[in-house]
Amino acid sequence: MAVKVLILEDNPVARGFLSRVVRESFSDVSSITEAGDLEAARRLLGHVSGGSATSCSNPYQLILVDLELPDGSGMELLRELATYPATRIVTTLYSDDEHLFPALQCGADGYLLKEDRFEVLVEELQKIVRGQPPLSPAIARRLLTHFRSGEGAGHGNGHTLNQPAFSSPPAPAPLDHERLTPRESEVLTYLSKGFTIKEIAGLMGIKWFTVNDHIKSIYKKLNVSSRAEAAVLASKQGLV
Amino acid sequence: MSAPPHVHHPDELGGYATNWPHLEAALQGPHELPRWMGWRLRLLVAWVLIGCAIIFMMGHWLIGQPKLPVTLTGTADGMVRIQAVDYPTLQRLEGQILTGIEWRPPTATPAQTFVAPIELLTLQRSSRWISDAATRERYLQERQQLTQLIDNQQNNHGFSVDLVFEHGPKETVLISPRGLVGLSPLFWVLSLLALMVYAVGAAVLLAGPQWRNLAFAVMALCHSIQLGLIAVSTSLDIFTPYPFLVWDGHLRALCDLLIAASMVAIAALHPRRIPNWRLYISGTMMAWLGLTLGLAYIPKDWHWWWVQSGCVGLCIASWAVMTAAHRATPHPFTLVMRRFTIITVATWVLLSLAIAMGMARADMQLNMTTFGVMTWYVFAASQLLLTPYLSRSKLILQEFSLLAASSTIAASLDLLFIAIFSLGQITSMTLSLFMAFGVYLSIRRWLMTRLPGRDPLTMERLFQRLYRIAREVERKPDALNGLLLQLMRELFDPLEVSVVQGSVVEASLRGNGSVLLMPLPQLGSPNAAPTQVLVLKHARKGQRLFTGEDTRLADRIAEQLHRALNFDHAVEQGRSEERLRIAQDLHDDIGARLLTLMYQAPTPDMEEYIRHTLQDLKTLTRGLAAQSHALTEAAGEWKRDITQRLGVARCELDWQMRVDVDVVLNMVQWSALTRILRELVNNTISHAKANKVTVCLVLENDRLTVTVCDNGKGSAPAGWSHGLGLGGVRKRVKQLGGSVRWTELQPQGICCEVVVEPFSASAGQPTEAQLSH
Repeated sequence: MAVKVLILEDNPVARGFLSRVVRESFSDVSSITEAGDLEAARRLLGHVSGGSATSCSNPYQLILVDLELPDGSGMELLRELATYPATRIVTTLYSDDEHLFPALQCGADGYLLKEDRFEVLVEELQKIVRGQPPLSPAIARRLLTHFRSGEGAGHGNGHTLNQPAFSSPPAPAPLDHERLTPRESEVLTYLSKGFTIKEIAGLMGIKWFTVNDHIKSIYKKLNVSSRAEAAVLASKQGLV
Repeated sequence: MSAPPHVHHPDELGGYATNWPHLEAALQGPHELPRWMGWRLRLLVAWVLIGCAIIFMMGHWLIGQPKLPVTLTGTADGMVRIQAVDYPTLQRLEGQILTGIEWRPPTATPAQTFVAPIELLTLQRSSRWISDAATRERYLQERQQLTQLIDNQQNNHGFSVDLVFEHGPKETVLISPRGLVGLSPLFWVLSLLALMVYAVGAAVLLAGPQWRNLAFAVMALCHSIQLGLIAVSTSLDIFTPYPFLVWDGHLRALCDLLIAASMVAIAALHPRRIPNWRLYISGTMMAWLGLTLGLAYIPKDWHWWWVQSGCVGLCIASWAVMTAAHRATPHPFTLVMRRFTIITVATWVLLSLAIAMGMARADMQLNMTTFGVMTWYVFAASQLLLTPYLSRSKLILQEFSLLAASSTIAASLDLLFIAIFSLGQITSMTLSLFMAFGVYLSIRRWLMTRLPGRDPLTMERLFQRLYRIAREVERKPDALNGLLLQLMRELFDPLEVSVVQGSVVEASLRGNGSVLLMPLPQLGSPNAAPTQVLVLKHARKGQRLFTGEDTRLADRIAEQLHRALNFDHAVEQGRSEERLRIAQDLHDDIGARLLTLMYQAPTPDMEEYIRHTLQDLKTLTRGLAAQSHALTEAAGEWKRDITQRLGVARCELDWQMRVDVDVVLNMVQWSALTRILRELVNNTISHAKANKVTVCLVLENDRLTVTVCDNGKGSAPAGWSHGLGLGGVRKRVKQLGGSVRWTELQPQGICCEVVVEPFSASAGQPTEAQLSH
């Protein structure tokens, strides 16, 4: 199966570097298309700004999006790609959760830090595509807070963490699929303390790929919950 | 949203409860009188009433005492002359020299005639100030005769006696009771002064029942007794009852000694208790007892000198004690009191010597013992009145007291000049006035600058305090209420201050000005209605009502404080926004360029170097932009970072961490520890070729230990040249105030140990400020 790749990155040197990473990671890359700004990317995907990109006959399977682009933020494109059937990866220089967390909420399947070594990037990219998205301790902490605050608001048990940097609007009562299972919470807690997947598997007495499944599930829930939130917001503002 | 729990330190509010009472409750609650307003005040009032009663009883007694219808005075050659007469019919007697008084019972024979001689000595008012024992005896004897003469009278409405003159016939005059108009004004003035001294003594004792205040009260009581006796003697003629005269002499001597003894006690107890004060006090008591009892055993000739020198001795002892106390712990009060003591003793000695040595003119001796002694006691009383209020009274009262003291000095000097140097009235008056004025000016200047003072909060200091509060609140936002409370307490000196829940729009008065309500400014939300109110009750210890002026001042204080706080807030916000912008610019611009450079690096070494630079840049910008980190959270990230980097280098990580109390790292600590760990691990990866790295992070008892050990090929760490990497580690460790050392491990490897102790000290000054925002 031939993989069609889109790289959205404004720095030509970085674009070339990422192309090499992609080629190194997968043996079956059929084409790599490069875009320098949001406008070009939208043209390639066939939609206008603010609209949503839909699947066409020959879709891209892998899209790398830089967050800082000359004509806007990569986050916008991620939002427009909500229903696009591709693996969306954020490539960024920002490793802090303030930047990464919103990107994950917008539906990114993973993120790559551009300053990492070539080998590290190849490995990480392969992992993401295989379904082992990375979760840094800071992001794990943010995830825990996010889900906990949703529960707190929904059930009124008053367990709110005082996190001034993160203020989500009071969500409606979360549905079951938006809540974390105890296992997922446990995985997140370990991750936030800096444990590796292997160590967590050892600590919890499960297989490492089970840990991975939990992480994937958390990603999905985050995505779903944020989309539900976005929909509620949109309908409230009369946008939908 | 639940409100954030309100946190404040109990000590900052002076122990006020966290659950503040509601405003209504505070206003309506039982109006409990403070202790001073309670039993003490009642006791004081009762005490003063007793004093008043005593004075009126004395007045009443004096009204019934017989009075000669003529005024007697001494002449220069020691005779008694009639100076003025009460009735026009007696006018012709003026200027006659009186030698005695005769009384013949109507039915008696001439042999039964009672005769009492009159001489200059008879006019003395008290036996206390007659220095010579023989003269004193004669005086008492003469007075006894006069008393007997009156005692024989049965008629209360008057009787007649014959005045015997040196030249000329006897004259029969009617002796009648003195009556209300017969009381001299001096009696009332001196009684009032005695009452004041008496009340002040009681007030001081009641305000603080301590030994030193007791000593002061004793002194004041003795002094008021002296003044009272002098007051009574001004309105008694030569017909003073004999027992009164005898008691008067003893009582005065006793009181003088007691006053002097109290002075020593006060010197030993005030303002601070000197070491072994019990010893000094008991010594003084023994001395007093010895002096008093000694009177019974020494020859009568020595009595007067015994008492006078005993007083001087005790006063000198008190001066010595004060000097010693001041040398141990200097206190301006001691200095003032010491000077007072010196003046008092010096005048006492002068007075005693003047009286003892006798005068060139006999009538001057009489003036001396009558008016000189009176003046001295008034002077001493004014000092006594001044003493407890020296530091507290208003400026005007101080001035007034000083003026009073100086004028007394002037009067005593005047008398002294007349007595000793036989100067003319005008000359001595002018001289003494000048000297007293000089004394007044110098003492005043000296006192005003040296007084221990709780002067009222001036406007300038008020604004200084406001500014300081704003600074303090910037560091500790919770301290605002406590600090404002303290400021208002100093400003209005109220009896009661409390913080209650409630809402008032602006400062307002309640209870006819007995209560001032002041809304406490809210931090952070300038437009929110204040929910806490400061309640001040009874301004200036209950002596003053709050006025509209006070509410305006309170409002202005709140407004200024608010403005200062808002300004600080805005500055801090601007600062953090600016930091954020700088961080963003650095990250976006320099970061992107470094990234491009890194991708194009010609050699792997160069690439690695740029990568480190980029990582440092990220740490730096993050330090500029981010909030604080908890140690355990930061450790999670360090672990993940190190795991990943060692993983690439095919190296195993053994991570150990023990933290007894999770602390919040400030930016300095976070960035220093991040860089230290990164450099140490980098060093291991690039030089040691190790396959296992052990990182151990321990924070116990405020001691942080970070060890990074490897099993690589490094050796002889002492010989390493500390390049950019290890130099950086040393620099960061030094920044934290810690130490670092490298040791060789057996069989192979290097261990680096970083110790920071105490770790909390490494936070430095800006931590609190950063955390509070």
